Amino acid sequence: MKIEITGPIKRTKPFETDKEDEDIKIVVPGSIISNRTDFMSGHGTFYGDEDIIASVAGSVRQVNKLLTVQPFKSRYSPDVGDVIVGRVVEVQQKRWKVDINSISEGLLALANVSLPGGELRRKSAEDEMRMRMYMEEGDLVVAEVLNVQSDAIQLQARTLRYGKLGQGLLVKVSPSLMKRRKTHFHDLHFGAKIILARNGW
Amino acid sequence: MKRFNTYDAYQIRYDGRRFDQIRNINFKFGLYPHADGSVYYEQGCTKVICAVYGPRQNRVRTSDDLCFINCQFSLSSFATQNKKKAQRSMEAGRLLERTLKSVIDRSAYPKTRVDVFCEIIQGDGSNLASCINAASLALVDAGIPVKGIVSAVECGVTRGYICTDLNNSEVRGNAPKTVLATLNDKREFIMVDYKNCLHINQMERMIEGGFDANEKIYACRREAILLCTEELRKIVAVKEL
Repeated sequence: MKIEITGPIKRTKPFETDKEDEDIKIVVPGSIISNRTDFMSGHGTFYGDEDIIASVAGSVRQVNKLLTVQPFKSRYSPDVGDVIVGRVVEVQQKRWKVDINSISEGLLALANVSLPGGELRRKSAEDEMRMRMYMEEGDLVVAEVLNVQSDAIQLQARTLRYGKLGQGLLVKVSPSLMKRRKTHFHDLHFGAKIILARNGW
Repeated sequence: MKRFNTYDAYQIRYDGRRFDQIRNINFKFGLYPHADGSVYYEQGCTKVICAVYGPRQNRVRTSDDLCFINCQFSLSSFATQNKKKAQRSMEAGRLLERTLKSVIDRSAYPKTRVDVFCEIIQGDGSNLASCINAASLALVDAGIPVKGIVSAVECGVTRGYICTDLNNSEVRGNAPKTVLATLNDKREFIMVDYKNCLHINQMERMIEGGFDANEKIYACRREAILLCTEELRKIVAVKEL
């Protein structure tokens, strides 16, 4: 019996690359980008003995004296203001822990959520007890990234369009395919709504 | 005592290679779409599938603030000619973990974990070396910052000749074997593991042979990774700084 193991299907029509993209250098981990004296190392690089070495496989970007290498495929790294879709994994005392396909889990604090009904009032002790009635483990929520720290990603869902998601379908794609745009909420003409979150969900 | 010979009178091994030749290497990225990095790696007839998940949230509290690396090395039950149940080698897993610990930049992602799972689906000698090669490729595919690409090879001595990249028939028996891992193309090893007894005079030559083989392995893999990355560039939205 023949067993065939295949990788992803080869694309027949590649997207058109811009003129400036063709000059970008592609590196693999361990390749020397430039010497140490001229540049500073950013994300995706580190200092070797006397030069700057790439640590991921990607394209080299240079802003003034800063050299970074962006990997083409990696876990979602959050920026402030990104719209993301996550799944609640834990209900803690005053916050929800949300899995957003990133390096660490997102934290959605009770104070950063608008209660159902649209009111933005100060949350009392009773609201803490009723957190579970609003969102439980396994619920999907759309939120915005408020703050990114080294060990925590804080989310907020204050406006009306963020919050718990109801009926629908979740499709997961790679986060590197999602560009940042003005709006991530779209209405399709036949009545459905689609949310394109930056973390690929 | 009759010794089993693995090369013929013309000093060519039974699979047609010279003593210092490595086998053909073939790999494919992106085998599992849901894993962060995955690779299907072939070195001759030894086939390994490696998947990397991470960096992701670590539930278990660790004493230090570095990334926790978890490696699992398992040999499928259909991988070798002897009928065995699926084995998980703890020792090989620890060796793999120590190799990757020195290569991954652990301080970049505190309080996270990286899981590396290697499964050998056909074992034809050099099992641990192929797993190390596959794991380093999977790390590159996952976009985890690493110090470089690790190349590993298994070397042995038969009747005074140093053989590199052993296959199944050469691994059997109690001939001395070493697994050598190097980083990029430097001639210093980051992991070495050896079995059975080795004469001290042959150690130097075996290490030199291992370095040479690793250079070849590194060179061909590096070119292939560069080509794969170029392909990926066309279908990915690159973030503006």
